[in-house]
Amino acid sequence: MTSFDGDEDEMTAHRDEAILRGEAAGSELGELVARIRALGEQPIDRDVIERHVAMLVREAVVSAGARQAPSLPGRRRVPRARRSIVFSSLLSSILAKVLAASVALAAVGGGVGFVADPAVPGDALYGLDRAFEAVGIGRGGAAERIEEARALAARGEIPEAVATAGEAAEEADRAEAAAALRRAAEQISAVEDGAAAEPTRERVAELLELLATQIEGDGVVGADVAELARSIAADHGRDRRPASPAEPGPPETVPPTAPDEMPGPMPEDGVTPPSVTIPAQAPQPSEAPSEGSPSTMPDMPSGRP
Amino acid sequence: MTFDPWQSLLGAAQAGADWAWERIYTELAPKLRGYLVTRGAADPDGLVGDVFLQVARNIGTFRGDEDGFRSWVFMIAHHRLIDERRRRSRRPTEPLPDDPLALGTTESAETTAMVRIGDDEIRRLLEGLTSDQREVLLLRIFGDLTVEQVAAIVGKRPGAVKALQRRALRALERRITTGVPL
Repeated sequence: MTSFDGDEDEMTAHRDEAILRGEAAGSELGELVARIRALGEQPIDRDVIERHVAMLVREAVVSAGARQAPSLPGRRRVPRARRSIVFSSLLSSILAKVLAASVALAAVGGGVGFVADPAVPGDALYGLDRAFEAVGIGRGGAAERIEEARALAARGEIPEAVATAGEAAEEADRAEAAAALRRAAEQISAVEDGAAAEPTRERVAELLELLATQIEGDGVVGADVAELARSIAADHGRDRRPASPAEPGPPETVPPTAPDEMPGPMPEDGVTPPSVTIPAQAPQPSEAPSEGSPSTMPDMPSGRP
Repeated sequence: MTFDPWQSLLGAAQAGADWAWERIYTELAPKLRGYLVTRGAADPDGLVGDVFLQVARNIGTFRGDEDGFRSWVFMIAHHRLIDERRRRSRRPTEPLPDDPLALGTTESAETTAMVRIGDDEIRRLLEGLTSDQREVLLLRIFGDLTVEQVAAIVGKRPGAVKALQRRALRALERRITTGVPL
């Protein structure tokens, strides 16, 4: 569609912008867009609002509580877990150990505090490292997307880069990785303001490189890659106070069963998960999938498929 | 200059104040619902709930202005749609994602929702777009998002997003002017 790229279309582009912003009534296209927009102005039923608001308040309070759960002396911290699962190369397992170790150090107790603590740039890595776990070795059309993701990361467009990496994983048929990357994008996006912080960017960029290595699947593991992973992990750990134990999340937010994104141990290609750093799963409230978990609004009009 | 209404609203929501959640919900839920319905979500109401639940769960980590917040909420919605589609595509008996506007295949509350909201002609017109075009267009319209924000959500470059929205609008224009009845 290069025919649209000419200079003479600049006017059209301006007009399009106005239409999309709802500032160009009068034209037929403007009317149509206004009608579409009006579909988003239908009020929600009062009782639905009340139900939902009550639910959201509860959820917000519970999550805030989980974030600030006081330390319980004497309780061993529960490192977050089962993070080994789908690794299928040596690189993966090295990464798994390094990341798991760093996360274990970094996490404030269980998974609860970690994800939710906004101040820490490493949060963004939480989703990413899960993506690593899931990605294994992928090949195919994903390489192009990874290229894009790299370029975006280099330009500092981090959420975009991560979302693009997610598409790469999607194309490489790594659904879990894709889902994890999407969650990561959400998290980064949530803290976008503050987390424009350089360290986060750099680490995301580095991790993207590693992800690329995975997806391009050249399988050779250089000592330098492992070294890089270690240094990331070291930085990651340094940013955070030593872990103190925290309450595991309350039952409302923490499905006792595994989230579906990381279905139980399923070694792929006969790879054994790294043995050292794979303790029992700590709950991950903010990652709980909507499907089949208590996170689904209980009293919505119809059941989930 | 120290008082920022949005920041105090956000702070209140983070602390679990119900008035704050009510404000946020009543402001955003209709738009979100419009987006989900026109994107062909199987259960738009349920999905609105899911998206907000995720928002409530992570709102403590959110830093940013109101624009950024809306963008974040729509990003979550976008991702939930992808999840839903993947689930549906695993079940061949259900309509496939490429036919997102094939409503009427479900007899549940959603159908009623669409009928209520319902605009058959708009639906038909949107069906004429590719799924990428629809996605970009609807994010811009319902989310009031900028090209850059949409780009971050869909994981494409801003240039690609611009191209998609341009094509979407031209396609709609063609259909309007060539007499596909509106």
